[in-house]
Amino acid sequence: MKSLCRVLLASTLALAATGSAPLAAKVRIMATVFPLREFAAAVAGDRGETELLLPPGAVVHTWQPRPGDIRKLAECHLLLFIGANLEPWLPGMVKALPGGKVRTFEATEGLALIEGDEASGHDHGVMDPHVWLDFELDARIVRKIADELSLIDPDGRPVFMANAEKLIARLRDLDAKFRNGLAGCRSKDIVLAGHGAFGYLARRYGLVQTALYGLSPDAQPRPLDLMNAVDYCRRRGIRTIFFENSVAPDLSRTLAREIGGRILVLHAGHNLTRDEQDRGVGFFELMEENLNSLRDGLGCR
Amino acid sequence: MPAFLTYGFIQRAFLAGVFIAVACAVLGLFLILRKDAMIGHGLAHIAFAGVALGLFLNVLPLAAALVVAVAAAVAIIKLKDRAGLYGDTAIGIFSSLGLAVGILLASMARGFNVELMSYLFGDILAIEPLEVGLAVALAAAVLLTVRMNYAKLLYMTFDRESARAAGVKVGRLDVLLMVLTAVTIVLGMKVVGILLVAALIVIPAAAGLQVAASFRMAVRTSITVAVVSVGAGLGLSLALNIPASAAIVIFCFLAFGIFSLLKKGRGSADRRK
Repeated sequence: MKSLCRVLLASTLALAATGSAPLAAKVRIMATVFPLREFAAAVAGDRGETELLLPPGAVVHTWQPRPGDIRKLAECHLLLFIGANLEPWLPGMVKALPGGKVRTFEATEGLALIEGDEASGHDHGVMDPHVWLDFELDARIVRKIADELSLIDPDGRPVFMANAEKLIARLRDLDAKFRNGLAGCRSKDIVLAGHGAFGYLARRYGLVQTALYGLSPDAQPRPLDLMNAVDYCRRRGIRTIFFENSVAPDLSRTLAREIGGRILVLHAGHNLTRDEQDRGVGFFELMEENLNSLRDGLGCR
Repeated sequence: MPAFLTYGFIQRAFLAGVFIAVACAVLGLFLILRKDAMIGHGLAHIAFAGVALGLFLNVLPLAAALVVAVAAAVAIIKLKDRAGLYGDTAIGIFSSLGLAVGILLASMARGFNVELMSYLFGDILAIEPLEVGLAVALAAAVLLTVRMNYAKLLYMTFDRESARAAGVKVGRLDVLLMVLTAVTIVLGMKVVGILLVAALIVIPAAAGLQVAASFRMAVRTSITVAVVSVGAGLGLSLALNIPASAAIVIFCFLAFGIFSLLKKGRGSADRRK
């Protein structure tokens, strides 16, 4: 997988040398986060090769590109990223690209973002980048990805459009599943012992997200925040603490122990762990797992 | 009982914090006098390699970290002895090596960031009940060992050659001290976090040495500084809602600052006589 783009580049060059149009080969797409990779792979189908920039388990907010990553990126046609400061290292990386032949696509551009403080009570003025957890917004992103791909590979346009419609139908199904699954729940409170990645999901399905840290995943917890979270849970009879599988579960365990509750995992989904990658988990499976966790934790009928 | 003490996680933070602090303060005195103050930082880096190795080989990461840290600690003193390296050169060598090996293993395995971090770094606010027991056992082991070997340790620390000549098994004591240190660092990292354990090894002992007239008094003073800092730091972090570990370290430093001013004051008073 790592050298995929390079191999493809070589084959492209070989094709070019024999006189065929370069894009007789596949469109090479790099994505910064897992959902964008999944969407791009589904839309491009056989006409594209997609790769995830980050290694499994890496945290997108804090990852740093290495020279090899820049080289890998330089050999691709299209870079898909989220924006809204989710990838603070990206501007520097793009600047380091030779020639500027790589098209870039910012998924959050033109979307109405939630402000950080709506999501979690912190981070005034900071936009919440976790848009992929809103399946309506995903549908719009998918459509734009199809347009981007069509610009690079005009012959593929009908295929991309058809694939995009199929994917959007699946996203609509998923949305309906969440809507129905989360309609009759005892609780509407997602208490997260981590950063507030689920603001979009909460907004769409009428839930309330309470996160221990706000939007930044690498903050240090403070005692009063923990005490307030404990009091909040006790007051509202909350017995389930959600934690993200990309952060250590220590704090969520502490919180759960304090209220005599339990912990359940939610996937923010921006990256996979190595185990998940080995199991070949897809975006839709992750989201279904989230739905199960939420239905379980919130006591839904 | 004040309301904040009814929270289990704060009780555990106080308890485990105090016991880890005691273990660190006592060990720290010997380490500083041996000019090995940086060994806390060094072994922390090496433990990183241990955890990475454990994850790479799929064995218990914390156990792997303990084994690697103990081995490295022993290797550090042997190297210092045999190769005749000055001061903390051996620590510098091994901590860099530890970091390098850890990074290599982590990149070879590609992707166990979260696990790596969670095995390495505890948080004083997220202590498990079992870890409180661990902290108590650790403090007991350190105090007991030091008490049983007190005279010999002291002799060796202040005059290594005479101690050796007088028949003290210096090599064996060295190993004992390093094993205790390695265990304290690795467990302390897991329980209260790296920042705190590295600070608790150095600062309270340094503060104690500023004012103490005897080694016994230095032991008492540094234990007091460590324990009071943990208490006051946690209290302050509750009052101001600031990160607990940072507040505790700041308190340790304040104690050190006050004690060294006291010493300076006393020193000039002595000179005037």
